[in-house]
Amino acid sequence: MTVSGTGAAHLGAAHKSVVAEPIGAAAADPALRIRELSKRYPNGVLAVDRVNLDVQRGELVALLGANGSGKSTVLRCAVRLTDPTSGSVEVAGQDFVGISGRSLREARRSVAMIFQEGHLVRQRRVIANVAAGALGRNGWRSAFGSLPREELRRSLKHLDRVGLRELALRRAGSLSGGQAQRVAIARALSQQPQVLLADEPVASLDPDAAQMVMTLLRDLAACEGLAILCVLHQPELALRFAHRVAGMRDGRLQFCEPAANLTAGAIATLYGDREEGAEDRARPPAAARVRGRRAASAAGNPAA
Amino acid sequence: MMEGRAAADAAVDLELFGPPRGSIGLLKRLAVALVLGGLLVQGLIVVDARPRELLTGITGMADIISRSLPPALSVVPDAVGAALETFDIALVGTAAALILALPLSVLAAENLAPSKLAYTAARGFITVCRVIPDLVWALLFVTAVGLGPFAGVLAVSVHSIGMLGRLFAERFEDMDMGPVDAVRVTGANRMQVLTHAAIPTVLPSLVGIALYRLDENVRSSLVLGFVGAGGIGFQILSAIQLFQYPTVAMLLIVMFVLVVLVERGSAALRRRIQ
Repeated sequence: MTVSGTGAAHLGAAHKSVVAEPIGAAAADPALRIRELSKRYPNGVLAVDRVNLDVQRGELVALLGANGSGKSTVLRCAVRLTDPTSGSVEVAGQDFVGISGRSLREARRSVAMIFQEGHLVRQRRVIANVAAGALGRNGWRSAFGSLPREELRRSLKHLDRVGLRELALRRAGSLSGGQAQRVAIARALSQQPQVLLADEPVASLDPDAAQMVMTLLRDLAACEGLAILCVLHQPELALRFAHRVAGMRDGRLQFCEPAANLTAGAIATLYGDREEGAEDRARPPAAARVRGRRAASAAGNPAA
Repeated sequence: MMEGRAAADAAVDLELFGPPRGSIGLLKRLAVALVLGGLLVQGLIVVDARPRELLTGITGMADIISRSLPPALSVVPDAVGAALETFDIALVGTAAALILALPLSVLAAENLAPSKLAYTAARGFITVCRVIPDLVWALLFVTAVGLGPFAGVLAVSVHSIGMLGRLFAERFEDMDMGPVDAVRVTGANRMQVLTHAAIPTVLPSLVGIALYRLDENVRSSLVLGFVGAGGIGFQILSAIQLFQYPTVAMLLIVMFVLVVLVERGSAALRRRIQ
């Protein structure tokens, strides 16, 4: 397990424009490297402001923050569903920002993403949804809706990995929220990625299903060596399952620390004194000190 | 604090219930009623509405109806054949339109179009197909390929490309882009995104729209026959011109049965798909 907390020394300088070793940067060669990433929307809103973040192979990093803090935009920029305004994203050394067309499609094979609602094609069978993860590898062989037999076999194994093999032939639209999210994880596995981005994967799940999904993500990081960046709204889940926890507020990364080092007060700075959904990026965010008292709920943290 | 709250409440009240009613509000309503009434009156003048002549002419209509009875049973085989031809004009025309409308609608959907140029060109083509009525298309194609059902098929097809293209494109634009994004980030190419995410996501709606179009096209094909584009409409026109009212009556009965059957069948299939 690779855990890096080099950003801790720089917490006090969180809002300086450039820091020697930015918050969120890890020491070794990371699977996912985000540098000075910014996104300004055409309406002038600065959704992401110079974010630096590394995720190592086998590491699960949770990204916390209030609504509108820019967490999901970071993920969407990382996989180029949204084009960043500036900065860089590298996956295993491959630049993601300066490419387009075929190069981008090929690069995307190494990054899987799962979404809040699973985003399955409800009208298709579960197995077809899982095999869709392998489309990037199959090119024109699967251009007209069919899927190669060997991919279907591999997809069954991935379904088995998330414990849903028996649902392979069901329509995706008939699944519960928890099942749909596990199928989305199987689809991500089918992609054979190096990095997995998860955008609020448990936001619409009940506590049991949420725990099951988070356990699965943590196991995938440990067993498959995936680098996982997971946006969460539940600090307790972040502290329990993530190796490191990053916090965003008003588009800026406030801290990125081993979960064991986090305090409840530090997390509270992400949410306090701010209207939900506020998009005002003009206010300078308060610097957050995160060292000190350990959060009581961090007791079960696997990284501790 | 309290003043702010009062202002917010007032804004909500204004949005929900409009300004307080007074003499100005009443005058406005009266003006709107007068304008609407004026529009209706000018419409009646322009269309030369003469209800009295309808009443005096009703005896002529009754005369035609009496001369139509009993319907000519002897023409049933020909009428069924012509009805089948009408149905086939609609079926082949709709199928041909589907083949072209689907790719066109992808280009004409803002969220799926590969470029602004492709979007504008596809939208333009769809608009031209749709705006020109199928009756005008039929007249053009009768001139080009001669009398008969083929002209009808072409007319139905071109007009349906416009109608289906627009409705399909709107359906694509309204769809949940989540599954499309999820497939796109796997590294899938444009074609794979369409066939594995976009089209399956909206397929039930597309099939429903196509069935409804088939239903509409059967009725259109009847009218197209009046300008020589084949089918039962052409036979009705011929029988009217020859004053063969019992034949007209039987053709109308067969046409009625055809339209009802297609309507019911299409509605049942749409319910099943949804």
